[in-house]
Amino acid sequence: MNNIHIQYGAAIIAAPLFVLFYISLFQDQSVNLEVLLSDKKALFFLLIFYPVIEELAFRGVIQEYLATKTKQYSPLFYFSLANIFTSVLFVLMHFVHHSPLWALLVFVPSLIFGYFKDQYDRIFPSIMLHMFYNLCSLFLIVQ
Amino acid sequence: MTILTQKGIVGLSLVTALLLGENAYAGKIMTDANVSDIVVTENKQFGFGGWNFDNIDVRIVSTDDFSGRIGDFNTTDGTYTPMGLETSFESDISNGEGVVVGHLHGKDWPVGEPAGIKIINGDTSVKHGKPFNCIMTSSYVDGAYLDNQLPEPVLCSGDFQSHKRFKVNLLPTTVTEVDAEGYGKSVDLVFNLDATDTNVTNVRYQVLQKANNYTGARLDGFKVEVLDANGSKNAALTLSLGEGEGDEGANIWTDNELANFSHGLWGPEDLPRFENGFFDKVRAYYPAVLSDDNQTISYQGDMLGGNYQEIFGNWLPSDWAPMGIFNDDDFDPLTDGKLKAYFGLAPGADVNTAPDWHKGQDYNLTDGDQSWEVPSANEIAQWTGEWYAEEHIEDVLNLGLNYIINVGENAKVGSTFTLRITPHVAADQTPPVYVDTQSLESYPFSSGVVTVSPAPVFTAGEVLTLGVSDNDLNENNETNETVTVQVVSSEGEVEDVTLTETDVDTSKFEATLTTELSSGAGIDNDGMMSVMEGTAVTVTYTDVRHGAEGLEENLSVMTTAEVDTDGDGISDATDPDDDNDGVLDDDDAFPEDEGESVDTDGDGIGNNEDTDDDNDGVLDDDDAFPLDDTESVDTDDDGTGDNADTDDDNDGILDVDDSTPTGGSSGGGCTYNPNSKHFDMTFLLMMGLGLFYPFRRKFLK
Repeated sequence: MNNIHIQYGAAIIAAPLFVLFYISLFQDQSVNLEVLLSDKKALFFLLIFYPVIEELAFRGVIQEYLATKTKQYSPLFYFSLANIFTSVLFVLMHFVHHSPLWALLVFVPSLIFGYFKDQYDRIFPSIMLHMFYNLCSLFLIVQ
Repeated sequence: MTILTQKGIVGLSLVTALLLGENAYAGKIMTDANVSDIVVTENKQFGFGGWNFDNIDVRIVSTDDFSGRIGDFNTTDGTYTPMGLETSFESDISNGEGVVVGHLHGKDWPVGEPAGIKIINGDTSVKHGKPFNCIMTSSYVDGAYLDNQLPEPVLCSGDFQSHKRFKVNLLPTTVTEVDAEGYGKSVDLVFNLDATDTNVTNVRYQVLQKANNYTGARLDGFKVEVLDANGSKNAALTLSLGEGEGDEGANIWTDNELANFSHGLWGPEDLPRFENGFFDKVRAYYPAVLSDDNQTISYQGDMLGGNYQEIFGNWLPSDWAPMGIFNDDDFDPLTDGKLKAYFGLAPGADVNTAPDWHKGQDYNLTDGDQSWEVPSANEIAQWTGEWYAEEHIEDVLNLGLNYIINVGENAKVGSTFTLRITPHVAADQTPPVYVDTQSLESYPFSSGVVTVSPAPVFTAGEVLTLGVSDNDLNENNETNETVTVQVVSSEGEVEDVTLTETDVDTSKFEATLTTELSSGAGIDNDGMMSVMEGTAVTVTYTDVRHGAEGLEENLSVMTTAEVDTDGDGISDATDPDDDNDGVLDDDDAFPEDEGESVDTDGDGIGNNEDTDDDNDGVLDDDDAFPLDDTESVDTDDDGTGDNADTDDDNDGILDVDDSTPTGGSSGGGCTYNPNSKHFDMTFLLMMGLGLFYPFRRKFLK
């Protein structure tokens, strides 16, 4: 097992933990899972389309751009400034359709997605992780 | 005189009555009695027809209960329900307002029969100027009572103590109001005149009656009036006191014979009596006066003559009749017993003297004057034996009246006339000192009494005081003796309670019994009586020697439980709000608990105490609808619970279409708008950036 395995493993394990944490905070909110699962379009958007677009937009365009402008600065707790700024923007974007608390809580997963972008300079890991995180939340939602 | 019964002719007796001397009747009162040919029909009153029953209700009764009715009297033909031993009758006399103001009595069967008054016309055996006609009681001669094969009715000329007088008990309803002169309300007896009688000669009737004071008030006089069919005074209808109508122009009666009390109690030794009166040999009487128009006989004032008023005050009511010890010295229960002693004060005694048993006045004086002597212990002991009895001296209540009614021409009087009796109420209503025997240190009577208090009702949880007074139980006047009574509730619980004599020689016994409010019958003999609203508690004492005949008798007294939850003095049975919590009982789920009134979920726990009023599993503190078991959450706070609300989060998307019906976000940290299936600007911006990435990577980076 090398460092890559450890990093991916940790990120994957963290996903359900994050969701559980979210549920503990938002237990009074419910999602009509039946409606959601029956809505193929919504599922496609949630599990595939949005993760791809968001990662392309944030980790691909924004973070890469910011990385060029902040590469002279040291990472903060292993997270580059570009990652941090991108994650802030990611949170702000979530304020549009979500409650403030929910939007703030996406900051940490965003940092993880950005970390893998920084590490491997590839967008693919971020996209897969994002998809996985969304999938976990779907099956761990308490209706 | 021929006596004919349904059983056949049995023989001739005296000269037949041929109406000598009074061969013309005017104002004749109707009657089926024929003194010249007496016919006694079984179960039919002899001498029927004269008494008008428009204001009379005749009841056949048991001698144990004069208030009941075991048979009837036919006022049309005088027949009545067959009677037997221990039966009697009572005729209720009502006034024009339907109020019973008097009870008319005769003798118990077989001595007497209903309805209590008979009319006799033409009894020529009457002497001393008295009328040959009379209004008298419906009774029979000693030795020829109704149980005899040849019953013989008493006539106007009947012998002494042959039961001639009917008794009118004046009731409390006659003294509820008195007029300016002190007279109470009247008792009317109405009589039917014979319509076939067209003669104009006056007819005389002696009225053989007693007026008895059952008014509850002390009286000091009376009034007798006669009124015609219109209720008016009428010159053709008058009264007489027999003045100058007797032998050789003498008066028929002396002044002290017109309205007097029992000769056996107050009267001289004369034939046929052989003894002076128990209290006095002088008559106790009212000097009745005839009015100038001869239509009213009356008197009001002090009683004259004998020592009645000195010993008892003026005319006593039944409530204050003194107790006496009687001896049935002829061993015949149907005759009056001989009075041996009375309970009260001796004449002239200080009112502060304790009442006691006293013998009567001593006329012999052979051993000194023993008048009013207190009987010795031996005498008292003897007087509790067989043929002795303790009873009220009823004769002190009964005023015998002697007067004559002169009934004139029918055409002037009418078809009926009224005999009106009115009591006069005494101003002094002081009771005799012996009345409250409960205040006596010692209960002096052999006939026991049992008491319970509070009565007739008590509050559940209250302590009952049980009492027995019986001189027979005081066998040892140096020890506190005991007696046991049985207390039974209407729920079936039994408590045997032992009462202890209040002191060594009082003959009065007391004990207490605790009661408790309970939902059902309690345990027998646990020292506590369980009661609920309406429980009747009966205390029974077996008096082994009670009453006139000294027989064993169960004496009972009852009191009924009431519940007064809120203690407002109104028992729950009538209180509209038992717990006084402001919620009427009909609307109160807990009518006896002031702290609760509603139980939404019906679990027996009031809402004030219940932490989940609607029993929906959600505690009231967390339940947006604590009284609605179908709702507990109202996400959008619109007053409609989420279960009923079609848009819980009020976001415009119906819950059936809303993946997040209660708001919030779908899973995943996506910018995905869960509430819209359309692309919005946010999405378009991100999509633009996202699509720019590969271009940037290829051409710009």
